[in-house]
Amino acid sequence: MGFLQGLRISSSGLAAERVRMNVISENLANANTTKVEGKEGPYRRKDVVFTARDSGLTFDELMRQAMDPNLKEVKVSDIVEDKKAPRMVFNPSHPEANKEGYVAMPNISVMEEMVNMITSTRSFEANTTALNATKQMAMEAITIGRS
Amino acid sequence: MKAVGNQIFSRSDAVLETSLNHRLAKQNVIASNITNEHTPGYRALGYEFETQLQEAVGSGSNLALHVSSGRHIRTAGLTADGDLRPDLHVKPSESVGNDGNTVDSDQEMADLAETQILYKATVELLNRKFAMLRYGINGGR
Repeated sequence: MGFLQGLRISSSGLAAERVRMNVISENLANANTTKVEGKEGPYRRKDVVFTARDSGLTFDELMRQAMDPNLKEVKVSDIVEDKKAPRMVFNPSHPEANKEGYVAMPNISVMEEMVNMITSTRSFEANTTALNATKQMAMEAITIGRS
Repeated sequence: MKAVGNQIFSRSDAVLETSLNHRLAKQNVIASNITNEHTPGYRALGYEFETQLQEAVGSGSNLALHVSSGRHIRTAGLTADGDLRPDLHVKPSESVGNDGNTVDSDQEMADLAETQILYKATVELLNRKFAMLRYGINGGR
């Protein structure tokens, strides 16, 4: 167990939050998209699935973790589509409108995406802080014995 | 913590060295908790070694057991070869989110800062000790 493990764990968090941020951007960009190439119906909201994964690359680390509760990295294991029904909006003049004059709009709430964006940003910051703290400690450690 | 038996490096240096190692391990545990802040079902981990360290150096509330053979009972918190056994556990928590995640991010950030500061303090103490040694070796120059 060394500095590198802590850095690796924090950077996995950064990577995962970045993916989540990309997915949120995609959702926001497509909040009014009524057609998707090669698919039926409007754009559907996407969501990331975070999974904790054993951290450790070396034999020593894995061995130690077999005995103790493990330290976990995070990874994005899947990007899934939200099963919520599309939002039906009355707009008879829209080319995608059905017989009753309703258009199926994406099941995206812009507010919800904004809230997710803020939580994602905060998590990213928390991971950056943890990464910097670990880095700072490593820098301290190499000063031991230096006059 | 291994027994140190020479004149230059005392018991307290061994304590400092041990606590450096364990603070780093604790830092990694905290990083793991912060990283998995949004992972469904993740249980926050805790890392305790201070109590064991106190017991090991004999400044705890219990008297340390004297061991003269490998088959003797040892003070709790020490492994068979005399190393400190830290307590890495799943944190008991009162609040569980909808997704079964028990990370309290404010608490983790506070712990992160604390660990970092204590690590720095420990390094500082070691450096003071080495500076003193160097002063002695150089004959006060």
